[in-house]
This record gives sequence, C-alpha cells and structure tokens, in this order.
Amino acid sequence: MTTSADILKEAARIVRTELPKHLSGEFAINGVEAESLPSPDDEDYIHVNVILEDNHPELDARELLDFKQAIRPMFEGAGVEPIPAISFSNRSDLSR
Amino acid sequence: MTQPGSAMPRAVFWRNLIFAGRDLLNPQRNGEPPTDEHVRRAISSGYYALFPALASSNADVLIGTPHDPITAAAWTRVYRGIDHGPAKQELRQHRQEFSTGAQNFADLFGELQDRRNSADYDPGAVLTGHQATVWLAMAEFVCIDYLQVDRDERADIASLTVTRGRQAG
Repeated sequence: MTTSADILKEAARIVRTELPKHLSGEFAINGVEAESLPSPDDEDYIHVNVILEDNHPELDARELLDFKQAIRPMFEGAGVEPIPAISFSNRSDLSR
Repeated sequence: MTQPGSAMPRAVFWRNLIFAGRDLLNPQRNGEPPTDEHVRRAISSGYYALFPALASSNADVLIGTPHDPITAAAWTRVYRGIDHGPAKQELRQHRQEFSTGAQNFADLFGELQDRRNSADYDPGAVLTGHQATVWLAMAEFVCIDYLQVDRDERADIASLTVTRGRQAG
C-alpha cells in the first residue's frame, strides 16, 4: 500500500505545528519532510524527518516520547496511518 | 538449547547494545564524523536493544530465574520465542490496553523495527548521526520504563508476543 501525498503532507504539517510546543526556544526547525518507505510488513511505513538548525541543546528523549504520545490522536484524527516514525536530523548532517 | 550441566542462560544485556550503538557514533579516526555505515549499524543496535529487553522480560515473568536444566531450557525457549513481525503487530493491536510505559515501548518497537529495516537494507535511506543518537536515547528510556511496568502487565504482553496473541478457548 502506498501512502498518498496528501497524507504525507498532513503528517509533516502536524509535526511542524505541534513540535515547537514541546521544545524550548533554543531549537529552530529548518524543515519537516515526510516520506513513505518499504516496511518488512506488507504495508509501507511513514517516516517523518525533522530537520533542526545546528547548535541546539541536546534533545530530551523523554520529552520526545511525551510529544509522540500527544500527537498520536492528531495523526489518527487526520487519517495518518500507520503512525509515523519520527527522526530528528541536524541540518548540517544533510548537507554533507 | 541449554544442555544439562551447562551454565544458566542469561539475557543479552540491552543497555550494552545501546552503548555499542553510541560507540559507533563516536568520532572516528582524526575526529571525523561516523560513516554512513556506522550510523546504519547504530540505528540497528537501537532496535536490537529493545529486542532482548522484551525477550528477557518475557522469560523472567513467565518462567522466573532459571535454577536448573528444566527451567533453563524453558527460560531460553520463551526468550527466543519472539518473532519480530508478529510481535510488532500484536503490540500495535493491543497498545490501547497498555500503560503509558508499555505503550511507549510498543510504539518504539514498531518504529525502530521499520527504521532498522531501512538502515540494514535500503541503500537510498537518508540516515544521520543525530537521528541515530536520538533513536538510541529514546530506546534507552523506553527500556528503562518498560522494565518497571507492572509484572502482570508484562506477563500479558509476554503472552501476546510469544504466542502471537492466540485467543484462549
């Protein structure tokens, strides 16, 4: 099953909108990209990559877990299924 | 299988797999950043830390500490009884019944299983050192929290992930 472009766009929008509520002002989001990738199961999975501007403090993993719990109902309400896996990259990592 | 007279089995220590993943991300020769291959293996280590955390929990709550050849064999059977894909499906299907600590573990088990698959098999996957660092940090916390989940709940989860959740009766 291939995830539609609209669903990917919505997944990225939700993360972009909600993540700043869980991060301090020392973090700046450069971009949020969503993609559909093959899974070992029959269905694809959704991967959302959050691109952060460099030189931010260390991300609080517990806060990220709370963030993931908080946005799950939003994904479900928007029909974003399966629930995305969310990665966090630094902008400089992607420019190498 | 454990043979009579052999040492009692012990779990692969999940936290050492987190540490192994972090070692891969440490600057390599001359302070250079980790290679793409190091990053891939680090993400894979994150998933493979969750696996023995679940496997040892299952064996401990269903069998207890092995103390003779019979319990050693039973403990090892349960420990090895998880099938990756079906376990992910069962955890996803039943997550609403779980406490928050078990939900976070179940969610990350599925997400990291997919990311591990991309890291191990997809040459086009975009993977970064920071991604791996954060996945490893989340994996560490969900393992810590999961192993503090009520024993009865972990026994329920063990029954789901070892037996593929077949209904009784």
